[in-house]
Amino acid sequence: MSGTEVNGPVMLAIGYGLAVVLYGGYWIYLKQKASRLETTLRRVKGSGN
Amino acid sequence: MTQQAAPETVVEPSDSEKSKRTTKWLGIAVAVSIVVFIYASFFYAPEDSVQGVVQRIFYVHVASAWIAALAFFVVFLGSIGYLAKRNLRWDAYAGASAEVGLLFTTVVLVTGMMWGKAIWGVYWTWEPRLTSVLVLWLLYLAYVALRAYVPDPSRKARFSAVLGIVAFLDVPIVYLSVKWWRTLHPEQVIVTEQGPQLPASMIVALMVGLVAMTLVYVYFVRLRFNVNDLEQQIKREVAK
Repeated sequence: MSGTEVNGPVMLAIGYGLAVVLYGGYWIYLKQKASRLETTLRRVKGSGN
Repeated sequence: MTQQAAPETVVEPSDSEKSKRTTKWLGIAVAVSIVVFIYASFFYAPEDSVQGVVQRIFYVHVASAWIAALAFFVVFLGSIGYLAKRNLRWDAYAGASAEVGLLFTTVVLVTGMMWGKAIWGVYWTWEPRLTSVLVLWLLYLAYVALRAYVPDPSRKARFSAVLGIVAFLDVPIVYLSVKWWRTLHPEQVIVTEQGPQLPASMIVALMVGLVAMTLVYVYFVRLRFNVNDLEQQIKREVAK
């Protein structure tokens, strides 16, 4: 069995897995940041600042 | 006694509500396109007879690379636009696109390393294509860092615009590196003088990937814009 046959499926899984982690992580980061900022904006508006 | 129905009040959704709704539908389109992309790259496209199953990393790797180039082209246009018009809207487009482009380039590097390990036996080698992509990644990392550390908006926009234009010079170098120098990285297989050098089903899977990644790009840029807008609104409220 060649090295490619051994490593191929593992490297494919790690590659796609890391892509999902990176894209998904950035999506979560943006969503959470927007949610935090919306809360801050409501608080700032509510305080009549 | 008959009751008369109260006249209906038509409430037009605000621009912000419309924008939120568009982003939500775009998010649904992204989710659907990713499911189709996974199906196309893992089940529809045939297994490569030489490289085996690991060749399927090609679809996410190449689609991400093309969209990274698109993102940096938008940075380039936004930078020229800002320097020509001095309108911060151009700078905002460039800034959002650079951050998302940096993410796509990170995915290109990471997936390329996994593919390289399986085929070449090493995660990294200092050959022209890989090195020029790493330089590209560092340039846009510097761009994002610059934006984070310059507080004055017009100075930030001016410095970023210059870096956005200079950094884009590396994009054609990345693209042509496999033609100009002897490299370990394969040459282009889609855009060639003889036409695409892949089976039709592989091209279809790649095109599905391009559509999915384009939607992801547009979706992320919209979300980034939303974050920018909220930050500006908070600044305005605090300044009142």
